[in-house]
Amino acid sequence: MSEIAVMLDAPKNTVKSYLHRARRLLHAMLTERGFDAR
Amino acid sequence: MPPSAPAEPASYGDRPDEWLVERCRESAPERNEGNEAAFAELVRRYRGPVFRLAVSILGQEFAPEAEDVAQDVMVRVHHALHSFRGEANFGSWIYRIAFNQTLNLKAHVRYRAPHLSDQALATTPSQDRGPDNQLQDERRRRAVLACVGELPEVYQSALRLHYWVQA
Repeated sequence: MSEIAVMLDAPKNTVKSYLHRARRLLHAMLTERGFDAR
Repeated sequence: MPPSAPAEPASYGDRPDEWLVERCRESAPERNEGNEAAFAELVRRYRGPVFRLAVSILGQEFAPEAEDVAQDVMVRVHHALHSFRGEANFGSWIYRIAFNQTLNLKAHVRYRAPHLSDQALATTPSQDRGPDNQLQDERRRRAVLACVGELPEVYQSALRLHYWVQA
């Protein structure tokens, strides 16, 4: 997580938030397209 | 041999990054003539990971471009070693350069056709499973890639870097 924070120039908690939101969006998009979003 | 004599290049593999960086910088930085053996060891350590980072962002079909990124990053690092302040560790610093370089390139390659044709991708067996399962896996893989590509850029970057770091 620290390496990603350095690369994105963002605090670690912000990176965690990005990941959480990205996964949630991805889950919704895949479900909408008829895939089992495991 | 006097105690201050430089270590033999063969022993560089055991040295930490910071030591190698210092060795590179202590010899005539104004002429960009660092210690070549020390720099070669840094290249050996980081060229592969930088290439994989670039592939994770650009996609496997842009592996040749990722090779170029890896090469360019090493050249940039060689020129910029004197500006490395050690505030982050060397690995994070080089990955940051690679990440930015790859994002710059991505803006250019995004609208170009990939090196592999769709047909080649579709006929490449992914695993030793039945054809139905392979087809299903491929559809799912394509759907995931398409969805990731539609996420905001910063979310894409966070996801790709997360799985790259884990790989």
